[in-house]
Parts: sequence; C-alpha cells; structure tokens
Amino acid sequence: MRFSKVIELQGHIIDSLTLPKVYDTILGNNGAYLSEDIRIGRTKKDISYARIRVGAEKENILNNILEKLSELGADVKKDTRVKLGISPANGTFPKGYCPVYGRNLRILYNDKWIPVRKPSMKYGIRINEKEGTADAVCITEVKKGEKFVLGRRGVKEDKEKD
Amino acid sequence: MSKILMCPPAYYNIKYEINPWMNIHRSADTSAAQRQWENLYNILKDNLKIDIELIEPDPKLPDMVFTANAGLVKDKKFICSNFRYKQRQPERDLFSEWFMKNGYEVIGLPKRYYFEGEGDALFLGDTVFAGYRYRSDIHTHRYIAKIFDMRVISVELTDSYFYHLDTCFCPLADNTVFYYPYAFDSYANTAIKNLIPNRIRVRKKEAVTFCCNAIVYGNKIVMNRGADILKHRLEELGFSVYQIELSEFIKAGGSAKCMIMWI
Repeated sequence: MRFSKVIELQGHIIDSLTLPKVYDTILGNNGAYLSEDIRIGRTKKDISYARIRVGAEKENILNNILEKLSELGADVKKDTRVKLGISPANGTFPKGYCPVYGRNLRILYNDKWIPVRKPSMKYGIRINEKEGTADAVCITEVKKGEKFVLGRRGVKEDKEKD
Repeated sequence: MSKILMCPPAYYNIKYEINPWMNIHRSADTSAAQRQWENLYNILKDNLKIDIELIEPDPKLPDMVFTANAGLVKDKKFICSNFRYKQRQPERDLFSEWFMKNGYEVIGLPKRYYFEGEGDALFLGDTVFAGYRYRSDIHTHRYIAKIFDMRVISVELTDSYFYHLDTCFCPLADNTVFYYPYAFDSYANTAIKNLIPNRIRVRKKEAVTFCCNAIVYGNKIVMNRGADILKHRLEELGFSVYQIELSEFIKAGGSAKCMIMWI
C-alpha cells in the first residue's frame, strides 16, 4: 500500500464489536490493514488496545477511511518528523543514528514522506538539505558536518515497492 | 441508587431545534407542561418512593428540565456532559456547581469530545451501555470505563429520531432490556444479543411514543402513554406500569427518563 497511517483504538472494543467494525470499515472502503499490536483485557472491566496500520493505494481513499475510523473511536497517530544529527568527524556517524533496516524506507522530511535512496542495511541515512533528498551511505563516505537521521522517529518502511 | 435529580419546567419551551422532534413553530403549552411534570414528580415521589432533589431552572436554558443529559453519576462521582449543541452548553456549569455543592466529585471529559450523560449512558448490572453518533462521541467511552472501573459497551445509533440511547433502550434488570432494535446498527444489535439474554423488542409504532424513555425502579415503571403492547408484556413479567401524559415534552424529543438523573 502506497499510503498508510497508524491508528489506535482503546476501550471495550471486543465486546462492543468495535474492532471487527473497524476492520470491516477499512476493507469495505478499499483499504488494507496490518494489526501491529493487540492487547486484550483479561477481565470484563479491563479495556483492550489495538494499534493498526491502515493503508490505501490513494491518499484520498486513506483519508476517507481515517475519517470513518475516527468516528468509530480511532485515534490517528500523528506523523513525527525525523530527528537529525550532525556527523562529528569524517568516517563517523552521529551518536544514535538510524541504520537502514529495510529496502523501502521513507522519512518524513519537510512535511513530505521521501524515499531513502540506495538503501543498504546498516548504512546511515544522509540528508541533502539543498535537494530535499535522503541517501543511505556507508560509514567510509561520511564527511564531518553532514546531517543524518537519528532514531526511528519519522522513519517508516513501505511493505511494497512503489 | 434511589435518588434522582429533577428540574422544574418553569422556563421550558421549544426555543430552538436540535433534534427532529423539535419545531419552533410548534411550541409547548407551558401550563400543560407544568401539570405533566408535576404529575410525573408526584408519581415518582409517592408511588415509587424515590427521593427527589431539585435544581433551580435557568430562564435562558429551556432544556434544563431534561436533567438526564447533564451527566452521569456513580459512587458520588459526577461526570459532567460536554453538550454537542451550543444552546445547551451553558447547562454544564450550573449542573457542575450543583454537584460540587452537594459533595460530589465533579469530573470533566476532554472538551474535544461530546458526551450527553445519562441520555447516552445507561447502567445494566456491572456494565454501562453507551450510545454514540448523534450526541456523544465514542471516544468518551474509554474515559467512562476508567473513571467508573466498569465495562462500557459502545453501541452506534442510526436513527436521528432516536438520537439518545435512552430514547430506544431501557434496562430493566441485570440481564433484561426492552429496546427498539432499528435504532441501532448491526454491530450494536449483535453486541446487545451477545450480552443481554432477555430482550423485549419494541415495535416502531410504540417506540415513537418514547416508551423506551422510561423510569424503572424495582418492579415499577413510568413511561409516556401509547405503548399498550409493551405495557401488557411488562405486566406479564410482574412490573407495574404507570403510563402518564407527557405530550408537551415529546415536542422537544424528551419524555419521562429524560427528566431525571439518577444520583
């Protein structure tokens, strides 16, 4: 799925049948989902929790689904921009850099999800601010003062290639 | 709970339209409304032996008479409503003040979510059934569950004439309810079937008399006139049913249950 967002549901979503209703709503509106985390309450009083990635081929379809899910109690998790750090020396990634962990990574930079080019596992993700692009680079290519993505905040992996 | 809060209808009338029943060109007969309310009050006090507290009405708030919508109470905790329509929003402060003065813990919900109290949340044993769509947001249900430490079953309403849960769903005992199934979506109907073993389905021609908007106390039930089939069925189950004239309040989309809040 080209576009996706994460939603969270909390409450007595099993007994109320809210969870199946959410799934039906996604599928019935040309979306897809991946349940990332489901925690079911152990007693009648306990609330349950679900974190679901909702996807669609078109942004307007996704937005339409998210609007409907919001009416069913879903909280849409806000996208968080990437955090950047500066390389302290040639051949050194900044502390806490995000190593490439998938082949189809995107990062949220300047309010846009941009692809990480030339991905190779464990490379760092270097930002070219002038061009607004991101490239995976080997440690030997790192130059002092370059900007790299730190942590996984604002980084996501598309399951299918564009 | 054996105590209720009511508000005299001194300023009640149809001053605006916030549900399909209201029509500003069809105003209430205020004298008749007063008589009908007093009759309800007397039956609740004398026949049902319920303790009644009163809140002072406000001349700018004609719907204050419908106290059920002001919040939800359990164990001296009052969750105050976030009314959907601006016409009723000022009621919030007046009710909160009353509960505070009377020793209740007043709890607010996030202001971005609407919630209309007992109008959309009814206790059935150890569970709260909570309606959403027209007046309350489902997001509030998880807060209610946490505040009261109870299971809250969310049920979606689908007919704007039954815009509050208490217009179409009436718990009788821990495992019994009478309700109008066509006011709910299919998931809600399935949840109700799964969780409540004894269900009395009310027909549309009786549901529109607001018979589900009934006050139940022990084996006594008070409701508006007009639902004879339901009355007979309830009497067969051992209930005493008081059907009274509440026509002036139906004009505003309210009836017996709307005019009380269990406290």
